[in-house]
Amino acid sequence: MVALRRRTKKRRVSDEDASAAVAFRFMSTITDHLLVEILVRLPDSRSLIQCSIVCRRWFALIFGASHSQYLSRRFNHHHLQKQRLPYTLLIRGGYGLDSIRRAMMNEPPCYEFRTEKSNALHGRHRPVSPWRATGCSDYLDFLDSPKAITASFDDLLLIQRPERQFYVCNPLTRQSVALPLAPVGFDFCCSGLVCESSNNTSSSSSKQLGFDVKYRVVLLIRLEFVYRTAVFSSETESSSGEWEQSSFRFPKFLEVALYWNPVPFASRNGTIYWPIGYRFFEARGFAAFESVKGRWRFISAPDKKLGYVEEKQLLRKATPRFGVVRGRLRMAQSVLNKRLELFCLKVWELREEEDGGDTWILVHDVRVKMLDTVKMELMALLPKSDDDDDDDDGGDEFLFLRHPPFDWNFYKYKIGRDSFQKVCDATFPTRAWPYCSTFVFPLVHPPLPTKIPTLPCN
Amino acid sequence: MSSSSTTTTTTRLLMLKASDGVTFEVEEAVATKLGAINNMVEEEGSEDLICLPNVNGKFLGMVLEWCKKHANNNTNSDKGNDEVNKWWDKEFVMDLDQNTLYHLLMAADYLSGTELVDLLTEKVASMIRGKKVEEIRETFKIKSDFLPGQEEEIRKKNSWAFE
Repeated sequence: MVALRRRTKKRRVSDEDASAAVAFRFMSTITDHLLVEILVRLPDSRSLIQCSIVCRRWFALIFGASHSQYLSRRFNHHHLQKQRLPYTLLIRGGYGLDSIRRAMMNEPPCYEFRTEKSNALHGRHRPVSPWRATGCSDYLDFLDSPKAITASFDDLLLIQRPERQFYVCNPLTRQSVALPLAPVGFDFCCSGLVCESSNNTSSSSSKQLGFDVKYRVVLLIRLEFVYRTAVFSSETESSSGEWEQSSFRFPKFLEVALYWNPVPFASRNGTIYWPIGYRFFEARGFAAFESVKGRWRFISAPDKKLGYVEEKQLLRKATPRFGVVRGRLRMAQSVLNKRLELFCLKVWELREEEDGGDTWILVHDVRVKMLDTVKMELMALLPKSDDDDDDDDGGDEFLFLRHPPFDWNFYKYKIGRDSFQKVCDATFPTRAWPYCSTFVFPLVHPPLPTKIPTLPCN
Repeated sequence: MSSSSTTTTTTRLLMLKASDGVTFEVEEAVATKLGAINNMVEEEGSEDLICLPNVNGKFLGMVLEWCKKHANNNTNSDKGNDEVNKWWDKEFVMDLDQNTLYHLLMAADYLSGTELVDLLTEKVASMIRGKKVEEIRETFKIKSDFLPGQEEEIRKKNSWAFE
C-alpha cells in the first residue's frame, strides 16, 4: 500500500509538465455550458463571486450581460433543489410599539445567530460551531445610527430611522435603498415589508448576477377609531414614487385599545400579518394586509380549545410566537406541565381559502421531556427553505431560551426528537433581558442575494 | 418505446466503437444509461454497431464501467445499494488526474450521461471550492487576462464577497 502510494507520487512529479499542459487545455477547451455547470456547484454566492476575478471568461459567465441570467437561474435551481437555505436570526429586545421610539433614541442590544452555512456566506466572521451569537451592531453598521429593525422578508430588512425615514436593505451585500419620507403622522407606526420576484427584466440593473424583486412597504397607525395606512410600492405605474394613503375600520371590538405587536410576518402569497391582542404576549388575532389586492382584513387566532384541557389556564399566559414556515403563517405556544415534567408544544398553521375563509390547522402537538429547569421560553419558529411544498410535518425546528437562575443558553427542538439540543450560550449583558418581549427577525438567504431595485426618483 | 423495453429483458448486446477502433460489447440496459445512445437505439432500432468518433477507447471504457455499475445497482434499488453507489462514485473520481477528468467529462457530455456529468462537474467544483483566486489559477493554469485596474474594480463593486 505504502509502496503503491509512493510510486504514484513519483509518477505525478515526473509528469508535472505534461499535466500542466493538460490543465491549461482543460479550462481553455471546456465549453461554456460545462463551465457553468461547474460554477453552479460552488457552495454559495460568496465563492461564486470570488471566482469572477479568475479571468475575463469567468467574469463574463458570472456577471456578463448575456450569460449571467442563465447562470443565476441554474445556480438558484441547483441550490434550491439540494439543500435547506442558510439563515440568520436577528434578535432584539423590545417593549411593543414603544420599542421603536426607544430604539430611535438609544439602540437596544441586538443579537445575531447564524447557521454554519450562513457563517460561511458572511465570511467576515470566523464560524463557531454550530451557531454563533454576537452583538450585531456591526452587522448593520453601513446604516447610520440610531435605527430600528422593523421587519424582515427573505434576506431583506426594513429599517426605520428618525423623522419617518425608511430603508430597505440587504445586510449581506450592504445595499440599501432609502424610501421617500413617510407621510406626516407615521413617526411611530407598525410597518411591514413584502416582496415578490419581479418579471421586469428590462430594468437597468437586471443584467447582473441575481434577480430583481419588487417590494411593498406598508405603514399603519390608529387614529381614534380609524386606521390610517400608507403603502409604498417599488413598481408604481400609477403614482410615481409616492406613499399611497388610505384609511379603514376593523371590526367593532378592535376599536378598543388593543396591543399591536409591531413586528409583522409576511407570507409567500404577499400578505403581511401583525399579531394583535389585549396584552402584547397574547394574540387575539391578526391584522392582515393583502398587498396584491391592497385589502385589509382581520383573522382570528386559532381556537385555543383545539385539543386543550389540562394546560388551558397556562396557555393563556404562554407567549405565542409566530413565524412563516414554507410560506404559511404559523403560531406556536409552549406550556410547561410541571406535574408530568413535560413541555407541551402546539403549532397551528393558517390555511387561507380562495373565498376568504380562514382555518387554523393544528400541525404539531408534541410533548418534550423537561430539562433540569423550568425556565425555558419558546423564542422562535426556525425558518425552513420553502422549496418543497409537501405536507410532511416532520423536521420543523424551534428555538428555546433557557434563562436565569441558570446561564443564558439557546436550545433547539426538532419535531420528532424527544429532547432539546443545546445550540449555544447566549451572552446577554443583564439578567433582565426581556425574553418575553423579544422580537426575532429571520433572514433567509436565497442562493443569490436579493437585489433591491433603486427608485427612479433617486 | 415499449418494444425496446421488452428487448432489454432478453439482454440485447450492443457494439460500441470508439474513435481509435476499440470496440466494446455491452448490454443495452447499460449503454442506454447514456442519453445519446438511448436516443440512437430508439431511433435506429435494429442497428447493433454504434460508432462514436468523438470518444477515445480508454475513456469510453471508463464511462461504460460507470454505466455498468449504475445500471446493475438500479435494478434492485434499496437504501443500502444507494450507499454503495455513492461510495463507488467517490472512489471513481477520487484519484482522477486532470487529463482523465477532462476527457471523461467531454465524453460524458457528448454521450449525454447526465448523472455522470453531475458527478464529474461536482468533482471539478470541489477542486475550486475553498481555494483563493491565485490557487484556482494555479490549479487550472489560467492566466489572468484582466486589464490593469479591472480586477480591483470588480472587487470593489462586490466588496462584501471579498472580505
